[in-house]
Amino acid sequence: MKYKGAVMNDSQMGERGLRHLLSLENMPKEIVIDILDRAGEFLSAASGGAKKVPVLRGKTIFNLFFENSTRTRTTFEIAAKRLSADVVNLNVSTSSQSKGESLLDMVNNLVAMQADMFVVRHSQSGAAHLIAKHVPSGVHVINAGDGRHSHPTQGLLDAFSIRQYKNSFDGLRVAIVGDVLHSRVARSQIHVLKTLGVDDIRVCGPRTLAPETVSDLGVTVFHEIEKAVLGVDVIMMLRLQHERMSGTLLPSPQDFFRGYGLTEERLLLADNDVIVMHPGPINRGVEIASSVADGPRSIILPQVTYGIAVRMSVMAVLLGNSL
Amino acid sequence: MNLVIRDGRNLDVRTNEFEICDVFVIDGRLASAEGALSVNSFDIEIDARGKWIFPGLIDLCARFGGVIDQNLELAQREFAAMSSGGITDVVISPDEKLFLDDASEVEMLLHRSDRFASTRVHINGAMTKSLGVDLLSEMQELKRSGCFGVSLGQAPVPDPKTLLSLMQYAKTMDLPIFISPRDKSFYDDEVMFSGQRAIRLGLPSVPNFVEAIAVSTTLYCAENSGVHVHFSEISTALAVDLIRQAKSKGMRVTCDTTINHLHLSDADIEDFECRYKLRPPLASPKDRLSIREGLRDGTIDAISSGHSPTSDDDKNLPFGEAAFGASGSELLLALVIKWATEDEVSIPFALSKVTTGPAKILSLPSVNTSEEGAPANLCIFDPDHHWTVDCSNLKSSSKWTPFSGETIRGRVHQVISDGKLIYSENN
Repeated sequence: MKYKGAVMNDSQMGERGLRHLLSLENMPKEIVIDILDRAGEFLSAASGGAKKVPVLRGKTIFNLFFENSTRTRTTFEIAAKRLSADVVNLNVSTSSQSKGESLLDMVNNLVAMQADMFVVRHSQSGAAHLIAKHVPSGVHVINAGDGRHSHPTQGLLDAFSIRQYKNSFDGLRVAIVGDVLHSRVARSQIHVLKTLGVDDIRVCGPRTLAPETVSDLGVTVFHEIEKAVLGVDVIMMLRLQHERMSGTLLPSPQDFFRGYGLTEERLLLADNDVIVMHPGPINRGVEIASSVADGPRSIILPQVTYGIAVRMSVMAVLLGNSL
Repeated sequence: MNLVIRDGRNLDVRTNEFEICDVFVIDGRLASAEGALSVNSFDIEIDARGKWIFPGLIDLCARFGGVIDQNLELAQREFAAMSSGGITDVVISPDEKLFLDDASEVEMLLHRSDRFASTRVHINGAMTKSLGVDLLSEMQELKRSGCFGVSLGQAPVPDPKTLLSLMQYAKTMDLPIFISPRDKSFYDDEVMFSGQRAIRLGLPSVPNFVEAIAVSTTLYCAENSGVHVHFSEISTALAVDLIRQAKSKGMRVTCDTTINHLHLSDADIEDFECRYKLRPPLASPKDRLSIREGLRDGTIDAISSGHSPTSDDDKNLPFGEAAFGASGSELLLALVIKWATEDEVSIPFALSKVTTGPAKILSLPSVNTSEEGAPANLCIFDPDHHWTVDCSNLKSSSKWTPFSGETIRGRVHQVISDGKLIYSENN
């Protein structure tokens, strides 16, 4: 019998390289670097005035959002339009699923409309994998967030953001704070940082949100934020979902802020050049104090700008691999 | 019908030895060579050189996903799949689509299976109406209509007060109880067991002690009520330990595990492949070793197929939404032999987990292919036939199994039940 752990992630590789972007786990470093480098080129072109480029002219990209997220969908839409692709937005929660159409039937229909790429967000872990497994060879899938599993473009844009502010990933100390257990963002951040050579990754939260099993991802688990942020170069705060703020995981948003909110006092424990990140949208006074979110160490808004360049890069790399 | 099986290696379950001999079946029963002298010619003559002959398999845990009372053709396919896997007896327990809480339903099922199934069906009636917790089923009527025991299928174990009451009533009717030890409070999250794989895949998961909680509650109530309890589909080390302790105290408790939990662990789950989505979920590699230890030391009495057919539509969904279950009837025997080879347990001992072991639990009469006068229920098996599991070639209507693509050893050639040839590989 096979005792080996099954190999993850083979499903996103095609003959010519990366075919789908489903997860960052075990993604080869060269591919990550290539995506970040090309994002850098798109970013400089945009700041030089060339915001729109004809890279994906004639391609049709479907934004398939089974979970509402105006922000993420908008950044994908802008990225696709800046590459000159045609974009169709589908909020599936309000359309065919209510008519009982299955996920795969819907995808097959859109493939028949000659879709070139799907950007998929879904509340179920593995939904993007399922779609990727069933689309024909010329069609690409980008996972824009699946359940608690993965949010790879967020992980890549976070890595890109760090690279903009720090010279190297070597020796970097990173703390990820908040609801790690339910966070697809945290998983993607951890995978990409490990690939890029970051050894000191700390995650922090109460045991209901950061149980010891999280250490299986290759990180050190802390339950006191003061210890977790001590001397770190990067603090990545996670968004706390409203439904988890009061119940049996947490008593109240105030109690979470008391224990784990990023305040100016706690920020002083980190390295002098620390940067503070958050995937947005932020809950002020829950995960982070306003003075920190708006303060000089925060790069929360630049993250949004980089997000577009990174998503352009991912789309260009995937569709480039099918030409 | 008279039948002779020539030159096979026949297992004697009393001595656990194989002996090369001819096996005679006369008027549905096994006969000695002397007894067969009076027969001038045999209706069927089977050349069994190089083959093993042993009792037909008894599968304690198989489900039909509701097809048995709705779709005769599909049900027939499931029975055909069982026969081709060497299974001559199967236990059917209630499920969400087939409550079995009413005598007329049980009678209908027995009538239908008599008519079109070659496999003998043993029915566990429902302990409660609609598998709820409010109302006892009419267990006397269920017993009269042919149920040998009662169960809640895979529904979670009820609170101790209710459970005790159910057991006291079942004990009064002298019915054993089959329990799938699922804990109610964790039931909805029991997609995976917590661990490295669940954390990486970001799937809902439960701690590995939840099965033991349900086993523990059940054991306390069973001890108090004196009922015979059988645990189905045991998957974790902690549950095996509790059952071992209960047995050592002399309690009338038995259990089975499935071929899936015997051979696989959560480490085998590949990229959200729904063929690995099972109830109970696959546990850790350490749990899997404990299951094997439990089989060796006799804590686990039987191995079942856990056969649970699902449609493609119910499986082609994200992991969390996909149906539980895998096809298993056709793989049961070869996977039992695989375990015997891997763990170096003797073939007769391994076979006892699918023959004499389950027979004892069901209080069925002796199953021995070397016993003159016994009913002829037997399986002729080619141990040298290696084959690769190809889902599209499975006879079951369900094509989902975690073993697809694996090469396994041994194939059933013929199956005889009550003296009749119910399966032959060539047709």
